[in-house]
Amino acid sequence: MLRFLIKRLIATLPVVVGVAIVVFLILRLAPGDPAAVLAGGTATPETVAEIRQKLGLDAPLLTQFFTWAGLVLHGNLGTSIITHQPVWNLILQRAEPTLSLGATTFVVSIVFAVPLGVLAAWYHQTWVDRVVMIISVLGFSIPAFVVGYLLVYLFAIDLKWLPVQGFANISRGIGPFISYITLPTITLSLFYGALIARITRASILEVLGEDYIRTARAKGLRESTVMTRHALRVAAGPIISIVGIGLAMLISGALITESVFNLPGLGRLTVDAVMSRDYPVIQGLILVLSLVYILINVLVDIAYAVVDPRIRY
Amino acid sequence: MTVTTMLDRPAAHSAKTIWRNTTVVIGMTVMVSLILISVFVPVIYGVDPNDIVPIQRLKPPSVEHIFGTDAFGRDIAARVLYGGRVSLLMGALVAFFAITVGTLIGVISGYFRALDQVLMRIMDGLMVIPGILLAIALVAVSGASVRTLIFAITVPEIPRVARLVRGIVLSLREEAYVEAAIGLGTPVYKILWRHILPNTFGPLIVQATYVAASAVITEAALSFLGAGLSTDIPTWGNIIAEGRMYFRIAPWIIAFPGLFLAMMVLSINLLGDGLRDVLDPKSSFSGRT
Repeated sequence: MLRFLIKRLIATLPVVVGVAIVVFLILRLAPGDPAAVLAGGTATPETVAEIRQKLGLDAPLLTQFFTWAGLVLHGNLGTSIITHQPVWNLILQRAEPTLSLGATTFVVSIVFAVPLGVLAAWYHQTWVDRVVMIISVLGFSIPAFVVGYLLVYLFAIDLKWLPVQGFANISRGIGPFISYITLPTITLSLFYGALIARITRASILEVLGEDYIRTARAKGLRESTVMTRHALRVAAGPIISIVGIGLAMLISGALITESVFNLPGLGRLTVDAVMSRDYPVIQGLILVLSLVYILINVLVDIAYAVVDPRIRY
Repeated sequence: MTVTTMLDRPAAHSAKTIWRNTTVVIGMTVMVSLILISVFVPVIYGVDPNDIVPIQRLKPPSVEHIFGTDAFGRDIAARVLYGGRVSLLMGALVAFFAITVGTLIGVISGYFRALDQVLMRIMDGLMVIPGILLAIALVAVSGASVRTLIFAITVPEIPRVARLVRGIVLSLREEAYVEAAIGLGTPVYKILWRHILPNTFGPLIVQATYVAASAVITEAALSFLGAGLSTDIPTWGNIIAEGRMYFRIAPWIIAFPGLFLAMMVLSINLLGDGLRDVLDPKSSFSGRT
């Protein structure tokens, strides 16, 4: 197990380097003078020069890369151009709402989507299957900011069951926390759950075509036993890996959902950084969120190895 | 697994098989109607989307303004219909560029082993970066214009296409007829053009619809987050963004562009799902990952 873990971690290194190179190159290879763009249209030449110097844009490309990579390896993501605070601190301050939303969505999506996907596969080509597929294609197609406003209008403004926008820390008690996080969670779960339901259905349908399922049925096992003991066990692998890969979409979706519901999280940080052209913050966010994503996918691979009896480490 | 089963099937599908699929027909009809409306707005709806009429501020839908007006008294219907043009342009061009560049990278890394490692590590690096953030960063450094938006939305879509094509090419290389062609001394470009590329066609058409749908959403999301085109070019995303402040008193500003956006993305996705069932029935996995 430990060897598998170490091997898996080493395998992520090239990807981490790939991300670092991409993030680094975005600013440097952009058409035009990035310092001028970041400074905005009304900036004086002095401001542009100052920004160029501050971001180290006047040094040779390779020097720039290694200086930057060295700082990042020491945990220094740079400082915000606007607030002059370390980017790392800004990210930590804003992490809680995003993590909360991510976690609730993750749980809600899996709890609802996996059973729905299984049902759709079980009742393949009946109305159950159609309904699940229609919900999932809708969940996929309607953007979070459209669903979000629809839900706010229905449940917060019209019915007044839930607060319109905002966030309550979990330290303020579980009641307020849930009442604020419910609508954002539903919004994001529709999207993420749609992905999981589709893949669950597809991978179970694929497994159901295998010979050993026919053997199990021929033995006279009950259909429910075949489904849970034989099909789901093997289909779990692909489902788990999609849950992991889909997290990149979950992160993108969370940034937008936060913006709809005014959660003071990383999404708000991103929007503020875009508005004020605070490039070090955007760069730090990309790097941190990509690394989180890579790390979660290592965990997902480990989970995959644990559930799939065919994988030996 | 996907690739071999797909290759075992007869390559040609008559147009009839495709049109017998209801999902394709519904998706295609809605999509084509939206395209026609967007192209012919100036003819069918003669209202200027940027016409500011202060006394007509925040009016609900009526006979005069069927979708109501916004905070500047501009006609929402005109803005929504013109907004479709930007979405369509993004969907079509991003799909085109992402498929072209992705196919090129996929073929190169699938066929020329030496470049495979380098190209695929860069693709892996691009793939783990959340798409919206990557696009935001690209727009932030180069300013928002139609050209930079197309570039920014295309880049995050490339890796998936490249991986798909690479997978197909890798399995095709082992096929007897490709080896025969190599043995006969056929030039590489001819092998790629005659024997390899035609086999990527089915999966790529399906992939193109998903890329287009995703591009329409991403463009709207960027506009919504304030990283899109300025509001004198109406887009569904920036109409919604402008309507946010008045959401409680004038929900129609958000409702109509939201409805059109959802219809557009839904129709493209339905088309994609239907085409996948017809062209590539085994690959329910590969489309959306």
